[in-house]
Formats: sequence, C-alpha cells, structure tokens
Amino acid sequence: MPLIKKSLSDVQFGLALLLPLILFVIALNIYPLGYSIWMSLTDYDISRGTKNFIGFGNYAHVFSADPYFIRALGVTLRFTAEAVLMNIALGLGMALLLNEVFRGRGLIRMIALLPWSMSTYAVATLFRYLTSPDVGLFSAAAQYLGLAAGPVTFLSAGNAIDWVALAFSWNLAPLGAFFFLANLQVIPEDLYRQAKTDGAGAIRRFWHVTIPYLRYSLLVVLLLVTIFAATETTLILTFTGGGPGVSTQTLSYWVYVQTFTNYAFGYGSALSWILMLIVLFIGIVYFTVLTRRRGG
Amino acid sequence: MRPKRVAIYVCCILLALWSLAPLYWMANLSFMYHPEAYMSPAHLYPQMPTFGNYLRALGFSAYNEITGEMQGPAGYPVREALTNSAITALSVAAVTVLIASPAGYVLARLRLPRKNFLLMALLGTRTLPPISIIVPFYIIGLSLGLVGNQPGLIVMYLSITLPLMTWVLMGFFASLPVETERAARIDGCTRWQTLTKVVFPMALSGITAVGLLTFLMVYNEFLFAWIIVQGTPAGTIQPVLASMWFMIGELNIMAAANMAGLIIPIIVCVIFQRYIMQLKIVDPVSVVIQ
Repeated sequence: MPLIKKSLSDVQFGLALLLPLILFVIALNIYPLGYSIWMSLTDYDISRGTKNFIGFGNYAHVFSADPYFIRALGVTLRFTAEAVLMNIALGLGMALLLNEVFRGRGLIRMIALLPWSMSTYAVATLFRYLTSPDVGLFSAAAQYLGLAAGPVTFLSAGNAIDWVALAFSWNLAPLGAFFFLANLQVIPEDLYRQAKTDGAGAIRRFWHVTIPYLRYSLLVVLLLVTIFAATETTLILTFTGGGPGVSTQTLSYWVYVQTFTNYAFGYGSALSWILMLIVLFIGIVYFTVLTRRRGG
Repeated sequence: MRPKRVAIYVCCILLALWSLAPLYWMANLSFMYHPEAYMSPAHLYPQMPTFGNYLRALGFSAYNEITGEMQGPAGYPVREALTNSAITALSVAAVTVLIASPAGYVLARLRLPRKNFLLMALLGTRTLPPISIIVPFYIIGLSLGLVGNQPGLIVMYLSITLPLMTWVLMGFFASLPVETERAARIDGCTRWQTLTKVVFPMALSGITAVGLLTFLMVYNEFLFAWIIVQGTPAGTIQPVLASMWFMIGELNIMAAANMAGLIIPIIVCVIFQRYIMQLKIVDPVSVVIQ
C-alpha cells in the first residue's frame, strides 16, 4: 500500500505499544520467579536468621524428612479430585438446564452466575454460617425436622475437607457451566434430530452427541478446576483454618504456614515449586490424554 | 412435552435454592437483633427485623427497639475498607485497561519478531499458583517498601491482571473484523488514529467487560491483601472482614458487614452477565478467572 505514509514501521509501532507490558511482565513476573528459584536453593529463614546457599537441600528435606508433606499431598489430592467431580457434575447440569428454552431463563442465568461473583472469603463465611452447630441453617433444619434433639456439628476431622470441596464448587461451578453452555450452543441441532430418527434415547444422545462435542470444554474445565483446587489457599485459611486438627492442611496451606507463620522463606519457596511442578504435571497429563483421544 | 416443562421448572427451583440459600441465611442473620441471632435452633426468618446491624457495621448509630436505646457504631473500619477496596480496584482496572488494550491489539494484529516468546510468558504466568507468586513478591516488596501500603498492593495485583487481561483482550481484538481498520488506513488515518478512532470505539464493549472483570477480581481477592495490607490503614474489605471474624462477639453485625461487602460484586455480576458470552472468555486459555 504505497499510498499510506509510513511514519513508523509495524515493528516499531508494535513495540512502542507493547513496551509497558513487557517492562511490567519482566519486573512483576519474571524477576520474582527467578528470585523464588534462587530462594528455594537457600536456607533463608527470618526466624533463625540464616540465608545460605544449600543447593537442593530443601527439596531433599521435603521428600525425606518432612512428615507433613505426604499427608498434605494426600489431602490436596482428595480435595482436588472431589472438587473436579463436583464442578463437572454441577457445571454440566447447570449448562444443560440453562441451554433449554423457557420463560425466565435470563433471570435463572443470573442467579446461577451469582455464586461465582463472590469472593472466596465470602464463600467461606457463608459456609461457616450454614454449617455452624449453633446458628447454622443445616443444624436448625435438622432440629425443626425432628432429626436431631440439639445442635448438630457437621464438620469433623473425617469430612471437613469434603465440605471445603463443596464450598469451593459452589463458588466455581457457574464458571464451568458458562463454558459448557457456550459449547452446547454450537452443537448442530441436526445431529440430535438424526440420532432421534436412528432411535437413540435421551441418554444415548447425551453420551454419543453431547459429550463428544463437549470434549474441548471438558478439557478446559478439568484443567482450570484442577489448577485452582490444587492451589487453593484462601478457602482453607478462612473456612477451616486447616482444621479440625490437621485434617484440611493442604500443600498450599503448608506453603502459607512455612512462609508467613514460620518465616522459612527458603523452605516455603521450595515447597511452592514442588506444588507448581505437580500442577504442571497434571496439566500435561490431561492435555495428552484428552487431545490424543480425538484422533481415535 | 408437558412432563419436560415440569422437570425444567423443578430444576430451576433447585438451582435457585442452591445459589440463593447460603446468601439468604447470612441475610437472615444480618437482620436479627443480638439475642435472636444467638437462639438455638436458629430462626428461619427474623421475628423482629432490624436494619440497625448494617448501620452499626458501617460506622453509624442505630436505635434498638428492644432496649429502646441508641447503640453506637460497632467500631470496625468497614467503610474505610470499602473505600480502600474501591480505590485499589479502580486503579488496577484503569492501569490494566490502559496497558493491556494496546498490547492486546498489537499481539492480535501485527507480526512481530519473538512474539511467541512473549505469548508463552503471558500464558506461563497464569498457570502459577497465587501462593507461589506471593512468596517472592512479599520478600522483594519488603525491601522496596511495597508491603503495608496501597501502592504496593496495586503493583502486586497488576502482576496478575496485566498478563491475564492482555490475553483476554488479544482474543477479543482478533475476533473483530479487520476490514474497517484497512479502510481507515486507506482513507489516510495514521496507525495511532486508526487505533483511537476506529478500533477502540469498536472494541468498547470488550474493554468495558475487561475493566469490570479486573475490578471484580481485585475487589474479591483475599490472599494478597491479607498478606500485604492486613492491619494497616490501607486494609481492603476482604482482610478487614476476615480480621473482624476473629475479634467480634456480635454475629449479627458480622453478618451485616459481610452482606455489605457483597453488594458491589452482586451489582458487577448483574452488569457483567450481559458480557460474559460475548467477550469470548470461553477461549480456553484466557479464562483463568477467579
């Protein structure tokens, strides 16, 4: 286009507009991450006053001498698995409902999205009120229905992590639902009609038409929920505080305690990198499994 | 057809109960006077509803119909915290939109050397757990004086919102038709004019949505705020509410303060609902929203 007078080349113009972003990303993301790798190789600890390079000492300690690590890993896996199942089931259910045509759909969509808009802290508060033995809705309902004579304690060391997973899913499921919904809307109506004439019932249509089409958004939701759940810290801190006992102490909770309660920055950084690598590993596994099947 | 209709409406009722019951319960407690809030089993609706808890939580006095006395403010900085949150969230949203919009446009439209490297960096930052980011941040921030004040908190939020929103906006700009821009260029607009007079007006809805989303994310964020500004005058609403929880013996006031904290997200959600489908947040990688 020779008619256009060029004062700047594409590259110059582009770089000028990108420069602020690049500077911010280097200063706010890349530099802190590098710093964190370095810290994880030191015994930086404010409470003990140490700051020496110790190589992979922290990592070796995590795997050989930290009894909390394995337990926290177990709690994290259980929480993540439950959260993923609940999110997929709830999100898919909501999406299938919201995809139907009925009066008042706009309002129901808004109501469905509402839990997503709330902060994790608010969700923790709501669920503390719901499950409280004294002022809780569930405890009151049990008493009014004659199922219990007095206040009921719902959270125990055995099931507290399940409650956290439920609260987590209450908060996050609408996001997944809207993914599925967007995906459902691009499934060609013809496929259903054809399946119907072939004599497929509602359940078979769901398995053979809907689910294959949803594979892509299923992958996305799986990935997101796994990453979010495996690294969830706020909800644990504010809903159960790791308790009762130690029953809800996940890996990310353990990173928090090591860093901000014990001020063991080096050890906390090493734990956080282990957490990151685990999340990355799970992500890669999902990705490979779900994208490979498409060909077959 | 008829049984299907019935099933749909039954499911709608269940969905509404699922979403609203937790909220109803906190609202219920927030309208009770102190003695009623502590009754067991808890009342399913307030027998003597009062708005006083809200007034007292927000730092005003309220008349108590039971004792016939005026009661003073509850003495927690909820109003200040709401103001802090609004300022923090607005600043982050403004800076994010200003930097991420042009960057998103460039990444969507122009061929640049090493573009993929930058894209990978943007994407990579989104997969990092917040707890892993905050650790180095906190330590670097300590030495730079970015811990315990509002500018520090704003900078830390930018580290999350900038890469994410650039990515979202990149997807949005890529979905806009390119012809209008070409026409503007042929008509003699400079690049900058094309951007400000043609592209941005066209993209206004997407940019607004990104601004809203950024605002909501920052307003709702707990962990960074808890670590950076908890217990300081810059305290935002989430950490202030959380620290009240550990101190307060007045459940009804606490519930009212929490309800007050939910007003802004609910309004934003209602507005945002119209944009969510359009923004293509449904793009897999962009969506890392929470």
